[in-house]
Amino acid sequence: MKQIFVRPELCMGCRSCEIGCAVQHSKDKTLFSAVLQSPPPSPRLFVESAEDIKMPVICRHCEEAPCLNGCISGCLYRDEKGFVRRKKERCIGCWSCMMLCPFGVITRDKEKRIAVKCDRCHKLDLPACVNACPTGALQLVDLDEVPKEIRSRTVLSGARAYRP
Amino acid sequence: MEKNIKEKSLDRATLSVLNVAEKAGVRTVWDRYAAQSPQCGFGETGLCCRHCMQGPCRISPFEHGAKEGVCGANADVMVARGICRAVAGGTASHGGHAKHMAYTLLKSAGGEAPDYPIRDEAKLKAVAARIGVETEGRTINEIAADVAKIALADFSEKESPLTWAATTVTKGRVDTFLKFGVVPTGIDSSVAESMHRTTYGVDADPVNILLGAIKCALADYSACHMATDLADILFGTPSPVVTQSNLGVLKKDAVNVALHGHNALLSDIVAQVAGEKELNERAKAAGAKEGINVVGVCCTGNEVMMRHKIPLATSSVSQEAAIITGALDAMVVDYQCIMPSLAGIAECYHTQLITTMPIAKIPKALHIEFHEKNAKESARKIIETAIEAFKKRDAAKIQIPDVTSTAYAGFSTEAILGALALVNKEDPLKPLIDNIVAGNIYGVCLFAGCNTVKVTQDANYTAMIKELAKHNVLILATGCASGAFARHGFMTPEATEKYAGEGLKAVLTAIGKAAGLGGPLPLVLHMGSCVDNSRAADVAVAVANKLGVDLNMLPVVASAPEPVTEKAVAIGTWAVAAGLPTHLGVVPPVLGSKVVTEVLTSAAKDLFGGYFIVETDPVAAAGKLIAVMGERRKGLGLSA
Amino acid sequence: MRHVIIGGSIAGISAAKAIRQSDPSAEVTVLSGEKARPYYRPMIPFLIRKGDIDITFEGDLEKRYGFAVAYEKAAGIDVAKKEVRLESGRNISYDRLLIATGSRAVVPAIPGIRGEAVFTLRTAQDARSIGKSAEKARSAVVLGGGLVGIKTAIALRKAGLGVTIVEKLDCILPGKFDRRGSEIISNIVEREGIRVLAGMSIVEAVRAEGELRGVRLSSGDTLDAGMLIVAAGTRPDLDAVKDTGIRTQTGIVIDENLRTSVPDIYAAGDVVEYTDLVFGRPAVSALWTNAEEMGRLAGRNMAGGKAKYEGFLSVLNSSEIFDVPVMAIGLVEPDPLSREYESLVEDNVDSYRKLVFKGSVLVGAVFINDVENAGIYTNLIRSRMPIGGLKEEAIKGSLRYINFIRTVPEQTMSA
Repeated sequence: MKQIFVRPELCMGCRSCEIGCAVQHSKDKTLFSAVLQSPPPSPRLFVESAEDIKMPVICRHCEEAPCLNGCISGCLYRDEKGFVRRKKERCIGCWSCMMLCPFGVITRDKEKRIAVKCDRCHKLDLPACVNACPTGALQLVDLDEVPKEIRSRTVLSGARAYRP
Repeated sequence: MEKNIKEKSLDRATLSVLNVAEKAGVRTVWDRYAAQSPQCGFGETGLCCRHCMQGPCRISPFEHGAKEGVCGANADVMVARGICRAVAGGTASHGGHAKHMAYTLLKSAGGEAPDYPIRDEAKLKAVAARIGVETEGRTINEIAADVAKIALADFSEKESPLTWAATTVTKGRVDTFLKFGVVPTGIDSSVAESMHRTTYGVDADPVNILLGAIKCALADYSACHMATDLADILFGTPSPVVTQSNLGVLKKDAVNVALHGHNALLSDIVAQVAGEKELNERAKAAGAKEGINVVGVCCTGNEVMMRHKIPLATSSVSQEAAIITGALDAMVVDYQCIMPSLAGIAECYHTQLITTMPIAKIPKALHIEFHEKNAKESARKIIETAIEAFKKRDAAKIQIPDVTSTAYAGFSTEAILGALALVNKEDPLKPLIDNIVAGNIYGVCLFAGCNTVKVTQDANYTAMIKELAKHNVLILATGCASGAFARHGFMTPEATEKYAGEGLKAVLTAIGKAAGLGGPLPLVLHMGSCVDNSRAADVAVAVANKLGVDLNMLPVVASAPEPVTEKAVAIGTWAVAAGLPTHLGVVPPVLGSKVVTEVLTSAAKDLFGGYFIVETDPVAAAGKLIAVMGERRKGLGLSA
Repeated sequence: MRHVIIGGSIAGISAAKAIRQSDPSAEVTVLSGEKARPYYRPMIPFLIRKGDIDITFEGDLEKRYGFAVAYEKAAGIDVAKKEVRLESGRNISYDRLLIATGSRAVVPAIPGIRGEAVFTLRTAQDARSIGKSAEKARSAVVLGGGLVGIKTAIALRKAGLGVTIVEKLDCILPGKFDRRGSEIISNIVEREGIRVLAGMSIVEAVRAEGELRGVRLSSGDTLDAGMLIVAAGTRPDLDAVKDTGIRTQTGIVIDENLRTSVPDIYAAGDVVEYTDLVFGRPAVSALWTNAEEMGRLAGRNMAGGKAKYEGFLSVLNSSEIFDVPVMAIGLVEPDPLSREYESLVEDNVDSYRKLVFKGSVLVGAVFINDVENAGIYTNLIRSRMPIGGLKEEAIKGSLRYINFIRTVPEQTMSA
């Protein structure tokens, strides 16, 4: 299964991911029209920083998603790819999902009064945020491949350190 | 990341105002910084470029991502171009300041600027002699006119090196600069050249670009020195004064006028006019029992502090605090370091923000344009505006922090030499040099620069000075570095008693007693505004010439613990070119290029003797500077 | 393994799904006393104005997960024989049983309260009845200023009726919001034309020829009313466990695996009484979110799992009152005399935030209008993670997920 993997050590805090996400979720899906759109589109991920780390905080589409479990209107559901998505017409703006998401990645559309969250750009091959990232801090990876990659990198760095 | 209030500043007065601001919902520079965080790493490393419309380009410092801009510029070129443009910005600033002075001097010499008489004829003659203007049998105005013309000629491209640089540095420096092709021939033309070489498709050799930046920085040095000299000529060369600093200098029962910005052409006139009887009567009639109270902010505050004992209210990063006290009736500004946010904040209070320069306007401020021909008239209008504003005070909003510090200022080169002359009349430099040789003065550190929102205000300064003073390092300061030291009581004889090592204490006491102070000189010698870094350069040059060595051999270092502006980049660069190891307390946007970082922190040492030392921990920084001074002492055969 | 679940609302359905997901061979029957396809009970106030909106669980859950729903009411349980006796007379045997009968509305014994035009709001049918009655009535009185009462009042107000909320205690939302939060919400509600009478009781439902005319208040005044909605709270529906020996207090007592005192019998949802995470003592939770979680974990355990349930937050509410988001989590009104708790408040014109700390641990939060990142606070309360030096960020609302990232071991951050 493909997941978005965040590498905070590569994050520059440039927020290109936020821009890419907002543009993808705008009416016309171009930067210039998105900038002129009223109200402007919102990103579904958030670049945050604390002390020496910067990183995008994204929706994990959790297997046991507190937002989905706590939704009282039947708006949030899990689609066939496993992504937690909204049936916008069923959202009543109770904000229970916001109250439950431990990552703080659900926000409000104050005009439409509905919850806004990442939909994993389910219509695209590559999510907009991953596409926009200039350093590879956001990557689309095969979950099964990730441990293998981490192992080989660990071995390599260990080998380098070991060489006298 | 948002800072706790306690982390924003070390200064009690600023902190108390920030508490007030928070409760009143007034946003300050610290709130805006939090909103900007995290800042973009491409900018932080110097790896972005917007010089052409095929961009904007970013270079990734990591494995993944573009390694060149669209035009093919690599990280080294991008970072070098950024530094060069920053220097150009600084040179343009100091250049504009100096040019303004030169025009005014010319007008004064021609009788067209009655409010700007030449106050220091001795300085005029000294400068004239230095730059080759005949003084024998000529009137003051004739001499002044020639000096002004030569000054103005320094701005465009000439056949010969910049007068102000060429006539003030050591011969060794001249040779070095010639060797590396960094001799500037015009101040404005250096700025233009820097803009030219860094635009799309011109200079793509990072080292060449950096040498170009150094050339432009030397033009900045020239402009600084010119501005200092001309200000002394027009307004008087400073001599030691005692005054007060920090926000407590604002008075509840006076019309408070803050002078903010850089040029004495404005601040000195307002300071003079503020003493006029009629205006003070008007102020008292409006209810201000103590009349008119002029205070200073930033460099222009330093200018009038040095010459007129005007108290220094606050510095750069805390400039908004002056208004938030609710007791400031007017803030008059010219150019540089003036936050646009002042207008919005002034609107929350009765304060009238007044702009004076055609190139520096702020929406919602009142613009009273300043011209040499009727300067005092404009100044009176400004004071009258302040008196009117006083009537609109909201007593409920007045919260002046009860914090002031005594500060000794006015240590121009002439004043320092004058004080040394009291110890040794024939050879004033001898006591200074003898003590350096003996180790009573381990070395000299010039503190310059700003206050930045990125570190706790004044924290770096206060930590460093304690370490250096303990080690018998003579401390000089200018600009907002002076402001920081003044605020925390380091510009006093008491600070010498408390923090100076035995050797340093003995020297400062000897000179102080000879000067009739009854005690030591202050721990920090306030040499003036940022352009007055040229005064410190003069002292170093004098010592170097006396010793018969070049600046790169002296145990003299510079430190900008909280640099902010492009002017700071320019000054830091010419300090390095002058042969001074120069410390920066904030990481400059160069880490994206290994070449640029290497050149600035290492190769520069081989070429110029001076180099940048980047160290964010103030105690470690002091340690590094002490080590460097020790190295230099060894090089001179002195005890380390 | 044969599982029987009494109760077809969220706890029961979650349990059914969980059992089937854990054990695809399990046989699961859900007994739903309410003759309606499972639906989102919190949505029923919306049915008052629009009786035909679809609030059922989407999709054919039975087909998808493989359990059966029988629309039958349980009459009793024979714990020895392990059989459920249905009202229809039929018996159904079980290997494991889950009691998820939910709660029922409390109706105070007030003279005149029994009869037409008096409603409680527990089911979709109740809501539709209220809606129908509201077409003819001009005014309504709502007994009880809790969340159900307020939401009902709002629906009736939007339908054009004059509405008064009568709340016995001296502020609305007692125990669910703090005093100041209640005050703010009360102001919002009154601004929109709903009258709020707090510190007032209804002593009689006044009728004339059986028809409801109004109510008489403890003050002596009377209010005209064509309808009376009783929203005086709920209590666990313990009918099914009568004479079974299953230990109950206010609700069915469970252990950390959601088991009752009788082997092979579990309980989940509103019917349960268990530890409140911040109050540290047993409480009843009439909250959808908690019911879903309890049902899910009970189901897992019924299928052989060992899921441990730490407890719930009996205050965990999020709603919108006339376009203003309001949230309350955990211990929102500490005892003013207690020195154990520290309350931080940001009370501004356009937003209200309150955080209650016990030392370094967040135990309660109230947010009105500024609700961004609320889940971070809920998670802090649930996990009892110490907040360190971040109290100022927390009350200012600049706390973010990234502030806690360092609690994750270094190695997982980068390789």
